[in-house]
Amino acid sequence: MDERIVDIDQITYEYNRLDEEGNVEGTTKALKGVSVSAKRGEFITILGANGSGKSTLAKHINALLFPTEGTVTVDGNNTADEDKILEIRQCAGMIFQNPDNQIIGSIVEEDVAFGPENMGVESKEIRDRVDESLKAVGMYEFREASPNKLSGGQKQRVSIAGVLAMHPKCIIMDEPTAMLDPQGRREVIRAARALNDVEGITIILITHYMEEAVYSDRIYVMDSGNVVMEGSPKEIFSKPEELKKHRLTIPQVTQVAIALKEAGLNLPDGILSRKELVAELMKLKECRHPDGLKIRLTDKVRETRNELRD
Amino acid sequence: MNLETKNLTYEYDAGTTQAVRAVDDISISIPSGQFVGIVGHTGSGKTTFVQLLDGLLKPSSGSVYLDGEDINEKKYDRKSMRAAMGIVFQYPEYQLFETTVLKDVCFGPLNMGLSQDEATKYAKEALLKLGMQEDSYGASPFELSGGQKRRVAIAGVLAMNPKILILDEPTAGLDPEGRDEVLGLLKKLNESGMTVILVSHSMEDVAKYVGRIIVINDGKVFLDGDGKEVFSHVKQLEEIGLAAPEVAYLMQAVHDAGIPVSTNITTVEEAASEILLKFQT
Amino acid sequence: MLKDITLGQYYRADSVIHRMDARTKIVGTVLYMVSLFIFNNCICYALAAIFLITVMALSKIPPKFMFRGMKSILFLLLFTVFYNIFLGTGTVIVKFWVFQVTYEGIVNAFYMLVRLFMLYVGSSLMTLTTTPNQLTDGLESLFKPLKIFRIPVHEMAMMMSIALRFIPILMEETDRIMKAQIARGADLESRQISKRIKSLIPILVPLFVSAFRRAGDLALAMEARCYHGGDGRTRMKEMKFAGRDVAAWFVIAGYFGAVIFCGIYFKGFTDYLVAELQTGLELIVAFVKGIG
Repeated sequence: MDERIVDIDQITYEYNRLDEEGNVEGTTKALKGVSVSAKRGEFITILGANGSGKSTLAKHINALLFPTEGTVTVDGNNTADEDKILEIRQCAGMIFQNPDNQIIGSIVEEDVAFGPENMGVESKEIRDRVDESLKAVGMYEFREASPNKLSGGQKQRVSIAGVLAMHPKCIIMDEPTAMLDPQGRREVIRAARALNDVEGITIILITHYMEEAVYSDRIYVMDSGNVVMEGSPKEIFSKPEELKKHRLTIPQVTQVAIALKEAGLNLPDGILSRKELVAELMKLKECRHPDGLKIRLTDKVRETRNELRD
Repeated sequence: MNLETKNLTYEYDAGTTQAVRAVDDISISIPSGQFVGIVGHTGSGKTTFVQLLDGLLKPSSGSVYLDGEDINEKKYDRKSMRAAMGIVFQYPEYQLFETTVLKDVCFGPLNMGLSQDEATKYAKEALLKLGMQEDSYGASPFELSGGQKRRVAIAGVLAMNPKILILDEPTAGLDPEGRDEVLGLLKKLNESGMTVILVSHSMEDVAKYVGRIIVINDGKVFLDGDGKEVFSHVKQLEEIGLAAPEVAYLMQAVHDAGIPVSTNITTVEEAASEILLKFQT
Repeated sequence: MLKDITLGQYYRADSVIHRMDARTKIVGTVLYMVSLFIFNNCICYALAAIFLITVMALSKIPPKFMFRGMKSILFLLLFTVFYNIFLGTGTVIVKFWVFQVTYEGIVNAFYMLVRLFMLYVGSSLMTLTTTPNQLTDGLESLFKPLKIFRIPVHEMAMMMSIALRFIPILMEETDRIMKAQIARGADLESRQISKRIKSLIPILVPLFVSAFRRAGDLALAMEARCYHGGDGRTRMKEMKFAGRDVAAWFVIAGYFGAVIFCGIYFKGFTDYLVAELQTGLELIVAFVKGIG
């Protein structure tokens, strides 16, 4: 068995721009030779500003779009192979951005059953899968509710359950939290991490919320149809300037750590969590020389500090 | 213009057994020129509240006063109120309808009774403020990218030159740079004298830009004060499903670890200098 | 308001009626509707009312909930009553201009009122106790034979269930767009028809754009979940006739038979009622005159 569940090899994607009469005006390249891969059980995050091509890329993995050049392989099947399309879609499930526009059923459990029903799974097994999936995302008690009565985060969890019931090996989440409030965002990310940890399902998360990328195994950064950075969260977030160039920022904790480092504190690169920063600070505190550290303050920090002192 | 509410209450399905009190007895005053953030989790009543402020919903009881006049009085001149107060809804790009960007932005000013020339002038000013250049004015608003659509929609409200601008989650779905652009613009508008009321669930945004924060929970005012005051109640905020900015948690963690930093911190810069302070003496 | 319409809403409860097969309920409702219209006679209506009240009690739906949606059809009811009372034919009581009040008209108005009321409650009962998906599944199954004529039964059922799901969402969206345009000074209350139609554009255009966008999103989401039409699709909730359905069939058949019997047996009942009403009114008039 191939170690890679998703292998995107040098793909480009072009679409035709149409003028008002429907004639082809020209072509636009949304993807320009992108290579991305995910190993079984990995948690991958694809970061990118609006219009960077990350959603277009996501739709290729689920065989909703097909590359103009290059190949997309999912669990050993090429998406160009028409006979394998249903198999690919079952293997690589997809969650979309708008929670309202992807729920088909009028009752939660009926929606979750939609996928397996399409696959022709036996009635009794569908029932088991639906219950199992709803439990996995913590929505079992809402199984008979109407989706319209749920919060955004809950709707997205129902969508995740709907994909889970198809027994996928990989789930692609295309900005699943963009339309949610902070609580809903936490719910969805928690569910995604649990599926990755407990069930070993490969997750490909597409987002522009930096905090959500912190826990992934690997991050790809996209900008105008290209993959421009690749690496572990530590590697990526220790390059704030480069991220800024691609219209992205870094998590607040990392920002604080970088400001402290610039001011002369001896901190390592790529601090991502509160815990890490606190631990590093404690280490510093213990080995600190009685005379204090030599600290070089940046202008902005000095200014704010003086304000605070007043 | 000063905005004030007295015992403002709104019930959905009033009179039935399923009546829900979305806004419950809110009395606040927003003096001219403030930058106010209204935060609360989904369903807290914050959206209903701002719709009441703008006169789009009629209160079940209580009143809204604009410069001392009750906006729901029969004789009140609602047309001039519409010109004085602008509201940008959530996902405002879904209200675009005209054939060109410029025409769409002119819609509001024209409704206010301005001449075509004046309306065009205001529209262009508003579009420029939002960073939309002349060459896009003739384009169909539906051909623009998501972020551009958002800006055109905001310009459509701004072109009416309101004294008070209310925005419901104007940054939802935007990328970090887009968020900063929109919020930076609001700051500039506020500095030029406009009252800005920002409804948001992003504590980071609110902490960074807003002068006064009103936290709404269950239709009531839960907390009201400046950022430091509000975010010093981290525990209470969490109990009602909100969170403080990430740095506030960081400072709490540093404090708990035994470094005696102040926990009254809401921005990255403050956090960094406060920690440095403890490492220097 | 639109959201008050109970028609098309599911009320969650655990009752015999809820558990019944959707097909039983659909056919039952259709037969019930037919029964309301084939005869014009009090006894039949009494039977229909007893049947309805029994089903209502069994369904465990609070009557209050059901009648909340009545407001929306109030206009229809009033119109029917008005039409029958003032524009009926038969023995005239009072006449002015084009209007005439007749004895038959009064009786007919009463009948129509009862009919429409029971029709509304009856059909609401079906939609309140059946989820939209069960309903469409039921319809799909009932209309399956039409497939031979190449009628896309599955696709139509799917369309219906999606429409049902998106109605509340689009309604909310309409409300939001309307408010946004009012806030931009749109005049939705103008008296001039031409202005009024024009003022609809800022609402309809965004609504259509949004509906199409949602449709596109949904199509993609369905495809992503392996939807490929009705072939080879299975069901989580398979429709099965249970004992209660057989019992229900007997009850429905019994009811329908009784209605037909009463309808024929008491055929002259309406005329009798009209005559009674006439004598009664004449007596009152004579009495009033006598006093005068």
